[in-house]
Amino acid sequence: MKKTVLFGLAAVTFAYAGTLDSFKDESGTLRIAGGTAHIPIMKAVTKEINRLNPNIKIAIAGGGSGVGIKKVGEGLVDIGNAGRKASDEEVQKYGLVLHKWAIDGIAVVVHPSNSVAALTKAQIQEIFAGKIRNWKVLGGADAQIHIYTRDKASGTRKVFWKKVLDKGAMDKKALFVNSNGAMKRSVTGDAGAIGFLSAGFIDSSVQGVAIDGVTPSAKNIQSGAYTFVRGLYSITKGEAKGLAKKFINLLYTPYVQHDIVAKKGFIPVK
Amino acid sequence: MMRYLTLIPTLISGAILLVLVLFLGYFSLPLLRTEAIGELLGGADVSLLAMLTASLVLSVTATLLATLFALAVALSLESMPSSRLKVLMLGFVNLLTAIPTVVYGFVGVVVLIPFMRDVTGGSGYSLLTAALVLSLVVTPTIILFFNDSFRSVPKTYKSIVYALGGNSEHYQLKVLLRAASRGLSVGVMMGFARAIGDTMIALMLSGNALVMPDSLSGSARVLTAHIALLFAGDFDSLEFRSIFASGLLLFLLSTIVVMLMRRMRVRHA
Repeated sequence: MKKTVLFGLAAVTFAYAGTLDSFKDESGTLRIAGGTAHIPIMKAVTKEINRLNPNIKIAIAGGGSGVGIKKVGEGLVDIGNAGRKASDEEVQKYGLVLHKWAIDGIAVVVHPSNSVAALTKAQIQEIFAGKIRNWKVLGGADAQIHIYTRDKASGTRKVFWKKVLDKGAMDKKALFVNSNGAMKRSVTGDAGAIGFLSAGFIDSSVQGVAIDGVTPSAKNIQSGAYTFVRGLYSITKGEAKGLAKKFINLLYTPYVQHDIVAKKGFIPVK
Repeated sequence: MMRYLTLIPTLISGAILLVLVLFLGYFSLPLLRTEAIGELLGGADVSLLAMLTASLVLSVTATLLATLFALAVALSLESMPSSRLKVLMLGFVNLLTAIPTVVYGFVGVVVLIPFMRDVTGGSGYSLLTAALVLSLVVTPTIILFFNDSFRSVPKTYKSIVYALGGNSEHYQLKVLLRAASRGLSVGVMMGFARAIGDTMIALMLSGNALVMPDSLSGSARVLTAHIALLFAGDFDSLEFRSIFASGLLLFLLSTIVVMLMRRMRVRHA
């Protein structure tokens, strides 16, 4: 028994080391851009690679899912990240290959001090449509609701709009921010705020709201109880080659899946 | 030979400009042709008219504030005798023009937004917040232009005013401002051009709401911020096309400003 465990451990370590080791003799530049939900994972993986081999330059930029798809399609970056599936036209036009390496929850967030910690889907739809304008109506403090949203270039918005708002109206008076990071910052700084972001971004500075009684916790997302989820994709133009291929392979290794992807609040696919 | 050397770059820059306009026009054409034009101007999801209004309101407010401030600074610099302090102050103003606007924007988010939330209510993200910070951004540019136009006024004017028994105030208010008026207008125009072209400040501070601005303390989206927010949208969506129309509008606006500036310079000379 002990022997099998040891052997298993050795095998896992070996498999992991094998993939990370493949970067040992590499050098050059890898350009990554797009989805802002991916950035924490991209940075953590880059750190691991650079610890082994500092000669590989990995440039990580945001921009949103649309930017990721467009940039990789036009050959401006090696890997384009997207928090939504590329559309059929996009895949066809550029010959894109999608690699889905994690599942991410889309969470509705409010300020940590907000006493409204649970909402129904219908209430969220009414808030974002601008019909409910005060937290008092929802059992909170007598304060104006400030809606924060993203623009149509955002994959997070697209999924939120489809799955939580059921493609319903969004108040045009809402405040627009341009990344998951900016969303978190805005909600943290505004006691009356409500917004939505990648569940991986939730920490003590924002409060994830339970929707129809289910909180967007990693446990609930993993078990499937929380249903507002989407895939996180890394996209290449044609099959991945060279550094990009090695990078994407690394994303699927048990170490990255469990020790980075899962620990950052995303759900591993393997 | 020399003629050709200068002619070629001129032709190239002219061609680039022409291609740019054609490109913008070509891409915004589908918008202008279809029924979409009504939607774009009237409301729907993206209203160019609302964004144009927001751009104008924001840059006019910011330029006005900046002009008043710059005038005060430039006038006090003018009345100062040449000294190390004056050189230092001018150097400082010069330095201010070089600070990237994103820095101002970030300070605005951290410091001004919570303050404005308490003062004006709402979320704090508003045209007024953006205008206050934007005026800080354009003030140094305007000061430099004002300072230059003051210096171009012949020194003898001042001596004459003093010889007639006038003082510094008489000189500044009755003579200097009038003699330098064309240069002053150019400075204001430059400030305005910088304000309307700026992206970061409005993007970070005005809230970017897709509505016709109804008050300064409300949130609204300017043309430049719209481009920054949507350049990654789906290619064939109305929103994506609308950024080309926004670009075209911005281009026309700055062309008008530049042409006005030209006319003033010509008349000045």
